[in-house]
This record gives sequence, structure tokens and C-alpha cells, in this order.
Amino acid sequence: MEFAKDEEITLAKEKIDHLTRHLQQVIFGQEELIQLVITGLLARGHILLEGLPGLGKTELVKTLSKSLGLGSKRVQFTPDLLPGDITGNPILQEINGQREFIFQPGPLFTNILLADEINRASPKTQSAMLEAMQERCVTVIGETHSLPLPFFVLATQNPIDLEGTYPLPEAQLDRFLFKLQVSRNDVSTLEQIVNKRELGQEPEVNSVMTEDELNDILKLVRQIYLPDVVANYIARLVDSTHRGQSKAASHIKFGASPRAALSLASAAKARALMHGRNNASFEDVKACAHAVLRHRIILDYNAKIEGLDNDQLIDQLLEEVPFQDTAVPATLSAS
Amino acid sequence: MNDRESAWNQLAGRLQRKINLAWWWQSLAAPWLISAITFSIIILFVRQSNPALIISPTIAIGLVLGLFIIHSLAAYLIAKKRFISRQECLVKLESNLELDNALTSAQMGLRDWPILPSAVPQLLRWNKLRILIPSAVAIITTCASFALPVSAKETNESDINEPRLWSQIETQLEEIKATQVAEDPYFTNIEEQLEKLRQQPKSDWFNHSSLEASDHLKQQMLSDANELKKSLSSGANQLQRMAEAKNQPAQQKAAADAMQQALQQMRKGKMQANQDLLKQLQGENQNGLQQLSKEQLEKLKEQWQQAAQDMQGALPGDDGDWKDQQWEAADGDQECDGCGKKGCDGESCEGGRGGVNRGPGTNKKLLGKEHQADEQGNRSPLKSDLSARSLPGDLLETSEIDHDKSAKPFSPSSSQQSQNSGEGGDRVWRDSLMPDEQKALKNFFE
Repeated sequence: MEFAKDEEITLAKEKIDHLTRHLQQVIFGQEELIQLVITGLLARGHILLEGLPGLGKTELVKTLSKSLGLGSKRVQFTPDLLPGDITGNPILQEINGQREFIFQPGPLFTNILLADEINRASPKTQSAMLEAMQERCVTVIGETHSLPLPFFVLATQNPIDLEGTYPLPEAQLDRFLFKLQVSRNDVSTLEQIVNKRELGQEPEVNSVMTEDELNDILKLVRQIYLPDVVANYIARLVDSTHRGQSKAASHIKFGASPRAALSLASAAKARALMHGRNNASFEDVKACAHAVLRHRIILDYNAKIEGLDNDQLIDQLLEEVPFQDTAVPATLSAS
Repeated sequence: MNDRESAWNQLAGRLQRKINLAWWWQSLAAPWLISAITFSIIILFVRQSNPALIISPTIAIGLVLGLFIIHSLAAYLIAKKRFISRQECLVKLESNLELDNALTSAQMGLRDWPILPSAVPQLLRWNKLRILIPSAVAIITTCASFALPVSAKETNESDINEPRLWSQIETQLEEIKATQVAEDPYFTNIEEQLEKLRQQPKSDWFNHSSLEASDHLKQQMLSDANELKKSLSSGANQLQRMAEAKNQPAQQKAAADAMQQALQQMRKGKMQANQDLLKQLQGENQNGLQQLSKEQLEKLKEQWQQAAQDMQGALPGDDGDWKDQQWEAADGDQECDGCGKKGCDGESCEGGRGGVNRGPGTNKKLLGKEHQADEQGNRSPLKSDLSARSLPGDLLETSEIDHDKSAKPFSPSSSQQSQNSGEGGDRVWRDSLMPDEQKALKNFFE
């Protein structure tokens, strides 16, 4: 396999840094979120953003799509939304005197789909997203239609809105690379927002990266070297999320799937590229672990009673699983 | 290989050697400790069984070293499968130093080797207690097994010789027997008692009780022999007096009576005189010793004296028994060492002259300056007046008081004709108790 060259990596890093700075100029106080969103994009993954209303989730997605020069569409999920409203429907049309069904692509056919409040859609509509997110194609009346590449779904959901919502099924949750928590801004960020923004006025966003450049970077991510020891660490980490495989997993009802391991590997590679390295490392895996595993671990009832959340459990797992699977003799101890 | 690569490889090599050495020691420690303790026990056992065996330091060191080498090899073979490779050490270094797996990718040739930090922290340190404790215990037990004094194992009972005292008793007995002065049943009794001592288990021969019994047997035998000898000497002396006081009936009678006493004493003693000798010594004239002539008395006296001397010859010398001198003194010739009086046998005197009973004066047998009489002051016994400080129930004095018993003898009689007024009831405390007891009982009933 051909690995990424240093010059290519340096160039890609510069572009990514430029994109990052650009986004930070528009979205204030969400540096870590922006880093993770870009990581998710470079890892070719879909991202689920969870946060209170008004924190800039939609703004981030719109800014990102404009910065990348990619097409984007927004779908506001409601309970009455039908699957066809997203994927598209065949429409009966008359062409040259003949009536035939012509497929009308839905909003899914775009590069970046912003699925707002995805948990408000019915399970039927949600499941329509499954094939699209995984296969990057849609099948309607037996006919498969490919989605444009790159294709990303950035979905949002409101954690406090419980009435009239349909929690995403685990199968669909597993298709999101990351689940990111959008935290509220601090005082200084709020001040900055107040000074630089006007209500109802959208900021001007320029494109800083072309689609071709993005595709080149996406190819480069796949050429980042994943050392065997890092792959081993990913495997042990994902395995430790299953009950009986670690002490922390005693509170886990269902652990992460192999898709989580693949997600971790991709995310680690993307992060390595963002840091200008041609190899993924233990630290990259550790940095992406929360985002990748948070929505893939199902806790049991006891954990909920004890007040444990997924992030705390992932912290315990990271503490428990060492980078290297080699025992140290008892006659030696860590300094 | 460039400098950075070699530097990193050296560092990884050092870490590898440290970890592998630790694995080897971990595999060695427990078996080595157990072996050292077992080896020490074996050495102690061997030394106890063969007290004469001397293990030279060279052999000891050789044995220990040999054992250590064998264990080391075995530990190496066991620990080998846990040894860490250099590659794994590089990974350990890069993960601890947060190098983002730079060493791994540099080893793949994907990037340059990073610069070695100026101060590489020690990733792992030795757990000193885990290393020192097994080593120390093994060394100490091994050295102790060679150096500790070990008492020999108990010898077989067949190797035990009987106490020398028993052969001394037998020898003494034979000598007394040979004089033919004493009669046989006494010797048989002594021999039986000696045989009883011999029949004890050999491990008990040298017990305190056994040795004390043996000593008592010897002392008793000598005491009995001396008593017989004393009686014979006394009899000879009386016969001499009788011969000298032939024309003095009163003195002769007194001497004859004393002679009879001597004879009675001989008969009473445990070591009986030989009956034949006794008949011979009593004389041919059965009408009494007073009827014998002076020459007959003198002849009789010589016989008795001979018997006494024979007995004396069979007994041990001056250092054997101090009572010889006492009996000589009992004949009236010498001063008593205790009280200084002539004729005192030293047993009945009340002491003095610094003797056993601690009377005033200096014992003649002591070395050094004699205690001067003018240093003795007035002596008066100590009196203690306890009555002022006594508590109820304290015993202040005792005295010998005959209980006031009823002198009337009991005699069987019918109940209607009973002449006894009875000894019970208040007569108990009125008539037969001591004054203090009477008072206490009276107070109780009141």
C-alpha cells in the first residue's frame, strides 16, 4: 500500500488549518466541535450533533458547506415527514407522448444534508436514511440511485425535546461516525456573538476549499499509515466495551460493533492528517474515542441508577485499556 | 543506521534488557527461595546427623553457586516466552513519551527518527523490596545452615554407658562383702535396688531422680557400714574397759551394759553383723561377759577391734565421709567442730564455733584469721511486737498447748446406764477448744 508523502500531508494540513480558521471566524467558541466536525468529514463519516436550540448547529453546517463549496440541503424533520419526502419520489410524466415514471430526487441528493431534529421524524422516515447513509445510494421502486460524492449527513437533535420524538434506533445511530455534544457558550463567547452578529443576519462565508481539493484530502486520509499496534489498541478498546471484557463494561448492556472499530481507525487517520502526521497514533484514537463510542454503548439499568453516563464509562475504559498489550513484571513498577 | 535511530535503539535495548531481566528474576525468585530453604534444611539435617562432618567454605560456595546456576537456567527458559522484543520497547517508549507513534512509523521508513529528548525519564523502576527480600532470605538461610551450631542427634541407647556411681557402689559392696563382717541379706537388698535402677530406660539413667537415688543408695550403704563399724569400735572399747576394770564390779557392770547397748545397736542397724562373727564376738562364755577373764576379754576386744578395722578398711578414706571424724569424737576423745565440746558428735549440738548451725566463733577448718571473741557483743534475740499492728485474723504466735481432753475413757454401756455425760453441744467449746477458739465461737453464737 502506498502511504501519504510528507509534502502532500503538509499541503493538506495547510488547507485544513485554513478551513478550520475560517470556520472559527464564523462560529465562535466551538473550537473543539469544529475540529471534530472536520475530522468526521475527513473520515467520510456522518455526524450527529446534539445540543440545545440556538447554539449554532445549523449555522455550523451551513458555514461548512459554503466553506467547502459543496452543495447542501436542509431538511426539517417533522413527524409527518414521509420517506419519499427525503429520498425522492417517482413522478408520472409524459415524455414524447409516453407516460413514464421519472424519479425526482429528494433533498437527500446533495453533498451535505442537514437533517434538523432528526429524532422528530417517524421511524419509517428515519429508516429511509439508513441505506443512504451506509451505501450512499437510494433504492426507489427497485431502482438504485447513487448519491453524489462526497456525501455527508449532519443531523441534529434536541436533548430536551421528549414529547413527540422518536429516539433513533441503534442501527441508525451506529451509522453515524460521531455523536458530538454541542455545549453552550461561555460569557466571553456570548459577548463576541453579541458584538459581531445581528439577529436574522447571516454571516458572509466564502469558499476556502474546492470540491476537488476536498476529494484529494479524503483520498490522502486513506493513505495515512495505521501502525499494527494502533490497530491492536483499537481492537482491544472496542472489545472492552462488551460485558465481561473489562471492569468498566460491567455496566454496559450492549457494546460497540466492528463498525465502531472501523470508525475509530478512520477518525484516527483523519486526525493524524489534521496534525500533519503520516501515521495514526494512540493519542488520535484516544481523542476520537468519546465521539465514536458515545452513541454506540448502551448502558444497563444499574448504570442509570448510579448516574453513570456514556462519557464517564468511556473515560473508565480508556483508563483501563493500556496502549500496549504487554504485561510488566511485578519486580518493576511505573515511575 | 543514523545517529538518532541508533540512539533510540540503544534506549529501547536498555529498556528491553531491564524488562527481560525483571521477568527472569520474577521466574527465579520463588523457586530459588524455596530451594534455598530446602537446601538449608538438608544441610542442617546432614550436620546434625554427622557432627564430625566439616563442610569447607569452598564446597559450600560451590554447592550454592551450582544450585543458583541451575535455577537461573530454568528461570531463563520459563521467562523466555514473556520476554519483550525491541519493537515492543520502542512502542513503550513512544507511548510513554507521547511521540504519536513516531518511532513505529520511523521504523517503517515513513518518517525521520525524532530527536532524542535531552532527559529521558525512567519509565520503569525496580521494586526493591520484591528483589531484596527473597535474595536476603535465601542468602541468610543458606549461610545460617552452614554457620549455625547444631547439636548432635541423640545417640543410640546402646551407646549410653551406665553411671560410674553404680560401679562404685558395686565395688564398695564387694569390698564390704569381702570383710565378711556384715550379713548377706543387706547386700542382696542393695543389689536389688541397683538392679532396679539399671532396669530403667537408658535415656533415664542420667535423670536427676535416678542419679539422686543412686547417690542416696551409696550414702545409705556407707552410713550403714559406718554405723556397724562404730558399733564394733564402741564394743571393743567397752571390752577394753571391762578388762581394765576387772576388779571394779561397778565399772565392769557399766561397761558390760554399754557393751550390751552396742550389741543391741548392731542388731537394730540395717547392716547386720555376720551371725557367726556375732556369736564369736559375743564370747564362748554364755554366762555373761562379766564372767570372762581379763585375757578372754582382751582377746574378745581384739576380735571386735579387728572386725571394726576390717570394716574401716573397706570403707573410703577421710575424704569419703566426714562422719568418721564425728564418730571418733563420739568416743569422747575429740572436740566437736561445732560447739567445741569433747564427746559431742556434732549432730545434737546447738552450734557455735562458726559451724553449720552458725554459732559464734570460727570453725577450725576454715582458712584465714579466726574471729575474735571480743568482737562479739551482747546478744539478745529480736523481739517483734506485732500486737499493735495486727489485723483481725493475723496469727501472732503459736505455742504448744495440750488440748484439755477429757480423761474419762469411753466404755460400752447401755443407753440407760450411760455414765458419760457426752462430749457434744456446748461442752465442745467449753472444754476442748483453745482459748482463742472458745472466744470466737462464743462471739459467733452470741
